[in-house]
Amino acid sequence: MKAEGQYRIRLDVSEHRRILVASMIDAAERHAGVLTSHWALSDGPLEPDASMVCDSASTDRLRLRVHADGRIQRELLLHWPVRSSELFASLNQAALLLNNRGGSPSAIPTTGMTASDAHVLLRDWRRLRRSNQYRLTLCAGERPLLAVDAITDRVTSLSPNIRRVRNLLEEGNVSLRWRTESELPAGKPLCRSTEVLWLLAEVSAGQGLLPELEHVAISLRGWPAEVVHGLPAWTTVLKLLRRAPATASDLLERSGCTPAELHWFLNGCLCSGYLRLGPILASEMQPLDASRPPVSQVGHFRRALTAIRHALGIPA
Amino acid sequence: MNEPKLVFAGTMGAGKTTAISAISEIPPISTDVANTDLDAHAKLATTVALDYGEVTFGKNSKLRLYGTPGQDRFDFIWSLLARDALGVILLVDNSRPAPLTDLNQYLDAFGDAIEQGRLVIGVGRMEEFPLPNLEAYLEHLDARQLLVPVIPVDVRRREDVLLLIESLFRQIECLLEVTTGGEPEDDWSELVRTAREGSE
Repeated sequence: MKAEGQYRIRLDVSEHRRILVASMIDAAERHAGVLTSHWALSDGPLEPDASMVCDSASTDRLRLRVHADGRIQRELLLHWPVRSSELFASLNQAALLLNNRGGSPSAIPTTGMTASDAHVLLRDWRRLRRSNQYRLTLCAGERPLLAVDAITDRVTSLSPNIRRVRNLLEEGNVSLRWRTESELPAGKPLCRSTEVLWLLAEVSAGQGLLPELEHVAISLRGWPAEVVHGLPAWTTVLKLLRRAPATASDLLERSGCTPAELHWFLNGCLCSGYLRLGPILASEMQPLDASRPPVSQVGHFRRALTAIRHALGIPA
Repeated sequence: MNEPKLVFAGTMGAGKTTAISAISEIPPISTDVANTDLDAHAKLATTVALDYGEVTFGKNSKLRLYGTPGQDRFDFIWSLLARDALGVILLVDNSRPAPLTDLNQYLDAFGDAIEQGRLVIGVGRMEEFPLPNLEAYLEHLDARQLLVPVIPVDVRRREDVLLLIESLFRQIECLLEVTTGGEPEDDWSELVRTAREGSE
């Protein structure tokens, strides 16, 4: 029996992770000064209010899934190493959503950069690129934090405190904006510019730059290399889009992506110049490519690729 | 597929030997000789046969890394090498006079690999020679109706070479049966996954 204001959470993770995650939830709430835990671990037959799962093909992410009406209403992604404050914020978001069933998920306050902030940065990025501005700095007020060279796809950090773009976006206490530069200041190499765009796309999700997708054929005009750092389900999206255009509903149905994950992918593609949107032409909409290798070879290939990755130290 | 091969192709000076050196666990066996074709490229030594490197994976399997000779007169070898290869990493040197024209020659030679989703393009020296830019490469490939990853790289950096390899693998996986979660893994995959988790 759960107490008032308390939620059931099921941990769908391996046993050793279960102990770790359970302690983290406990520690996160204590860290935040909560006297009575809002979250009770649930193993019973009743549907839990939320669940936590590890990605099936990646061990560096934890998903907090908020359940309602017999389905998963919202997923919040957490990246290892998960900080107590980050976990607490996600649990709070989940609790607010559960309290607010039927309400709009966008009403939930988020920590760090908001979807609207990310939307504005993506919109401005596209505007600047259309006017052939390739040298930009990302500034907090007048202070440049990142130097972005869109020609070479390189981003350098202009502050010794910024070691990951993700951390910069999570801080959210600065008002970020793009500034054009004739010469980029020297900085420490940080990442590729497309990585910044895809992080912004992740934050903006449903509030990105995509038009209404209901009656649009989606296709690719380039192969987004950023999927290397993305979600496993995107590989399926790519597979679906490789040969023929598809609709958003097709992609959702057949890829296993949540709407937010698909929007993240499509916004990332759009901002990196890979996406093509057009009218739906029945003649172009083809079934999934049938020219795949025999099933007997598949496990063989997959094993070889996994083992080579392992040998080279490429994360799964 | 105990000894799959990975082919590094590209024009003279594109960085094939360097890329192989970045990941090979043995000193690459190189067949460099003095470059007598200084009109084509000013570097002093060039590969006239094949570069070769290795990566051991699994228990006794080897990934064999081959670098093709860059000179046009050896173009008949390119498609031979690509036959039955795990994939092709095509390196384009943006400092050359017409990188997109260079690219065409290789796209023609490796048509089968592209069709099978087994080719990825790395563009080098973009920092000093920013044109053609990535958008130009995208347009060029789009005009030929090709969907191929194009990544600016510096092959002296191991992580850039690994990014090319991982992009290639993701592409290959797109053509395989896709596991979307919940399906049972085979014993070997599970073993590797467990080993990874254990090493965290």
